Amino acid sequence: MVFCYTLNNLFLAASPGIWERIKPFFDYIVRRQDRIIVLTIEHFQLVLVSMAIAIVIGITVGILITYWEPIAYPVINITQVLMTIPSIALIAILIPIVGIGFKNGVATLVLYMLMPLVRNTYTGIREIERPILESAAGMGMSELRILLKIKLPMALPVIMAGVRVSVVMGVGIGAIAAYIGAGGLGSLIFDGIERVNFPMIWTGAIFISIIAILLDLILGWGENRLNWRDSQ
Amino acid sequence: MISLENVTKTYHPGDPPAVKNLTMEVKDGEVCVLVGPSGCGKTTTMKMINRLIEPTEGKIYLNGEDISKKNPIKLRLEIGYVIQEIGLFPHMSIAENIATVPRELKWPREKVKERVDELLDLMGMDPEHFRSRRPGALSGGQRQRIGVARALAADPPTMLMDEPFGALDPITRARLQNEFLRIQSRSIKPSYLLPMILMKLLRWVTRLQSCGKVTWYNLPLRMSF
Repeated sequence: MVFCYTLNNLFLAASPGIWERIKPFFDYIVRRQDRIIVLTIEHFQLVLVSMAIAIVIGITVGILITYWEPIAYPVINITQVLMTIPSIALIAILIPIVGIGFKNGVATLVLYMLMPLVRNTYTGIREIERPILESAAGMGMSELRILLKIKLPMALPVIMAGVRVSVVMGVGIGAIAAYIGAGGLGSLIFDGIERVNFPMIWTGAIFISIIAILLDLILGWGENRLNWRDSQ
Repeated sequence: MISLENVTKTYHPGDPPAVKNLTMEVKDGEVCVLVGPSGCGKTTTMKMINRLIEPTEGKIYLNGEDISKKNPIKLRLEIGYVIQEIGLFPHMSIAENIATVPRELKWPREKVKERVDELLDLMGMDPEHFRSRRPGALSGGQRQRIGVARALAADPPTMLMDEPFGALDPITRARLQNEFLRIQSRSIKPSYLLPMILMKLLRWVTRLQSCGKVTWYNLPLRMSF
């Protein structure tokens, strides 16, 4: 009985009134498009700046720990612990250090993004079979040349997979950074909750998802391009 | 000319040495083969010659020069090197693989390209067809040939080959060995091979010579032909 009632209710709600229900959402987008565009750009900025910094730090650390095994797992574990801290707590912890706003958002995102980057760079390089490195060294390539010509190109697909994971994650956590005024589409969600404005919340959530999917597709395409395994 | 004087290698202090008091000489134009059971120090001996492993005691000379005083990178660029697993770079094309050492030596692009085609021809592989393929697309025998071609690329005066034909089936191995003899007869240089089992080699060998202990428990043979 209860089940039938629920089902019926759902259908009634969905079929005739669906447009009525989502119309305010489209109205909102049209009415506030200027703000949405600005916030989308801000969100991209937040994610891309953090991505650039995290890639530089993460890959460098990932490379360095392959040369010094004893600290490899401790370092990876630290980045893993960073990821388990709830984002809102990490933001709060960083306030005394970097203050609030864009800087705090970037710092939080960078710390979150480190783990996949460090771990994937490390495993990507470690996975290369010994004979390949041995023949490179035996033919007279210096350690730097081996890193640039063999290790990094071979590990690149794995590293790119790490970049992809961390960026998509960063888009989501970037929304929370709006809480301390880092800007971006998260502002719509927080403002919407405060004003009980559902179209506003939807707009924020949906646009954040679109950004995540878009970046994932672009990076996935890049990952395939860099993958030397399948090509011939 | 390669000469080893009382070379000993102990990996861990207290353990029996992997190579003990080895003295041997390979003259220009000679092919020297190390034979012995696995674990007797053949590979260790070879890796000491291009300084992938440093000897615990003793001296190694390459053309009269003490190799411990040479820059290891420079030394290795002058020595062609093939290992059993071949170790082709899977992310590079065949041409790029073969061009590894010439590129390290900064040869002009045209010269590198010519040399790559020449070597593919020498290996009996059509350059047009194979140049831009990846090692993953090759059969075992073809890979092994590319491994040898890569070692020959910069025309090194010395070659070190660790079981270059080890992982092959008998028919392919025989063909490659014949090919290698053909290449060797075209360009005389001292070479140094390390196959595992004497049987594999018999067809190569016309005269066997004892060369003293390579390891602490066996008596490998040095062969020249």
